[in-house]
Amino acid sequence: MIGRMILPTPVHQILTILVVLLLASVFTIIYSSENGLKDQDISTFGSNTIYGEYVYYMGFDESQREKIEKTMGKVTSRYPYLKEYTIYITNSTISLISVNKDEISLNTREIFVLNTSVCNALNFRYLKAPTATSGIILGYEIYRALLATGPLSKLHIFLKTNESEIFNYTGRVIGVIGPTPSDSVNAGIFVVEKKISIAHEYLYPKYVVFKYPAEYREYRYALAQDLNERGIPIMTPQESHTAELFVEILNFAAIFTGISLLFAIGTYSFISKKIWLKELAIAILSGSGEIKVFIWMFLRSLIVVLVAIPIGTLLGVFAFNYIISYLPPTYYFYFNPQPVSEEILLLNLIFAIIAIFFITLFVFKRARKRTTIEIIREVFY
Amino acid sequence: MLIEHAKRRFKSQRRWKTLKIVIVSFILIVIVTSNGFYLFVSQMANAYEGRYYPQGSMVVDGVNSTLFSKILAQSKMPHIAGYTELDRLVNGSYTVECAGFEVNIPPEEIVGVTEKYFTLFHMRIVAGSAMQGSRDVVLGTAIFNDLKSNIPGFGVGSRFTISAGNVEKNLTVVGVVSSGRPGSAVLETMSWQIIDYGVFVNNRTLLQLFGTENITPYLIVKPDSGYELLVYYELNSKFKYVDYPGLVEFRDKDALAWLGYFLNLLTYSALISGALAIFASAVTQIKYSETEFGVFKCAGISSSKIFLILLLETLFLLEISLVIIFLISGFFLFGLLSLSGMGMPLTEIVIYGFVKPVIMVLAILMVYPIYGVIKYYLTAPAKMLRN
Repeated sequence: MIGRMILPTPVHQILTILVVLLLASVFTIIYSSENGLKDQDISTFGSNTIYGEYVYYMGFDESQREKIEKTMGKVTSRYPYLKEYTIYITNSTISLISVNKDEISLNTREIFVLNTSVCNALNFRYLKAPTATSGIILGYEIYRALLATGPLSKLHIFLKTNESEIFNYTGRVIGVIGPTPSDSVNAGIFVVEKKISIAHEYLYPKYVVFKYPAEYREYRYALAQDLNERGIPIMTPQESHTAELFVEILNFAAIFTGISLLFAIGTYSFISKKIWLKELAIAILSGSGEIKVFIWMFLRSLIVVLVAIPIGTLLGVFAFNYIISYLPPTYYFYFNPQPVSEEILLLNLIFAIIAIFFITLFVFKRARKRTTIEIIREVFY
Repeated sequence: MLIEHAKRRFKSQRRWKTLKIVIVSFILIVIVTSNGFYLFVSQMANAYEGRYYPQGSMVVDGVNSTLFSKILAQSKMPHIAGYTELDRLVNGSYTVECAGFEVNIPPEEIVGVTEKYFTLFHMRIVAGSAMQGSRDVVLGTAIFNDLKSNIPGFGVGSRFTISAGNVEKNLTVVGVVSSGRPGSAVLETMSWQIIDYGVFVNNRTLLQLFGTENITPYLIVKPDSGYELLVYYELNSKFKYVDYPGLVEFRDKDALAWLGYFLNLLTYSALISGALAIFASAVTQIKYSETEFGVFKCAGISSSKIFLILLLETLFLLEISLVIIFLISGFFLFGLLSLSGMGMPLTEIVIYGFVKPVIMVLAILMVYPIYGVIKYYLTAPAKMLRN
């Protein structure tokens, strides 16, 4: 029966499917962008982290390092849910980077070494996500600076003190971190290796990052204060409020698209009203109950929606991911593109089903006011 | 006749008309908001773009050219196009006399420069010429105009005497240099960036007048084009105080691009969903008009006339939408006034606040007459009448 209801008006059905599909995809793009802006945790090392930055590394001696490591141990044992990750720099005095036949001398404090597992745990916000587990990850600004020399593939890093060479490394550029609130990370070159081949005495902690479970997010300031009191200066994540206006604007756009979706489904119902009435008359003549007729009418629109909404949402997901990959990064509006969840599909479906329910009810109620014979006369003559 | 018919059509079908007016008003509000907001933010971002400093250059503080050339020879920095030393007066009192008048110039505005400064950074000479020798002085446009209005006969070629202690130097004003920025926005800038208020004397003259102990050097470095950021990082690894004003501009432009993306997303989603809603209403509206169109077709009315009727109907609708948002919400008016209050050029306000939104909305409203005329052209009159 449903097939018989769909087939007589294929052009209208296809047109409606296309309209609903496009609206669903627009809604998906807007909703995903809105979610990306809502996450206000703009910590340098990814969400749910706080960190200590050690800027006095040049005057760092062994005893100071031991003292810090001891304090760290005390803290992490006190808070068992807290995970600690260290990013090192070296005590080199000369750092040379060879890239595209250019030899560049950069600040030794901005060449970091970190373990692959640490890198994976930190959830950096990438402009270009790492393509391998080991290699070189560039901060956003140094990436833009080095791009002047040509396309970046391999980098040779040479670090030495006045007396000896401490690190000689050639690696591929595997990823680029998006802009962060930290200038030093933006200008940083991160060497990521499973095993770092630098003697321990040359390595100095630059950042100690503490990662806490998401449910402890509200306690992050208290946690930072506790760590500060123990002599570990901690930077808490900043919160960006600049996005609020955009979220409002996008909300407005989402509502606007939702209204259009309702409007499109309504028009579809008006266009196919005659066919509905005919089916209603036939159903009543053949002895179907009113509820059954209403269900058939509802199911008919549901087929259109069930075809259009998932395809439209999928199209929106692809379009969103495509747009995101070409997005310019930002310093003021921190955007965390979230993986597109089934929530959007569900929202699209709920919205469409509510719309078709009320529209079917509206048409059905109007049709019920007429007698069966009036309907048949209207439809066939 | 066409107008009359379009008016009659417009007056009927009230439900669709109201719905369309709501849609069009919504879209207009979205476009004007996003355009206005983008203009507002870009105006703020572009405020950094004044040429207070030679474009793309950076400043290394506390370093003279001898030391800099020595470091440059030791390390590889191949992307530096040029550099020049400037000297800033930090101590010492002096008097400046010009055409018999004693002129008060704050010490931070006297800058010792080399001839290279004017050529390397293509300084904007608005009168006279660049500095040629040690007896020349070049003035910033603001201080030049001040002196001109207060000293009769003052101009390029006037004598300028600076006395510090027992040393006295007679100089000649040879040129006037400008930052190219209107007004006195120079107050927002750092001392080394002063161009409009600067008194540029030869650095040898400054040295003779005040001695090395009273002046401090700084360098302005010009990187090769496209290598600015890289040179900034290289300089940072060698010198303690490096300032690159272009970095703020670079970051602002990135953020502006991001904002542009979001506002475009908003505008185009409003346009797409609006166009689809207009299309949906057009389908129903034309369906209701089939009997009328069938009669027209039987009477031999051409498609172009039908298109004109539908177009006029659309224009009435746009007109009403514009009047509604002008008068009821006052949105346009508010937006336009606030933008003009910020010193935005009137042409930009008109284009982005009025012409562009109206054209965009008209474009999506054209869905209705185009669909109508296609339907009119393709459907047989008998079929229309039967429906």
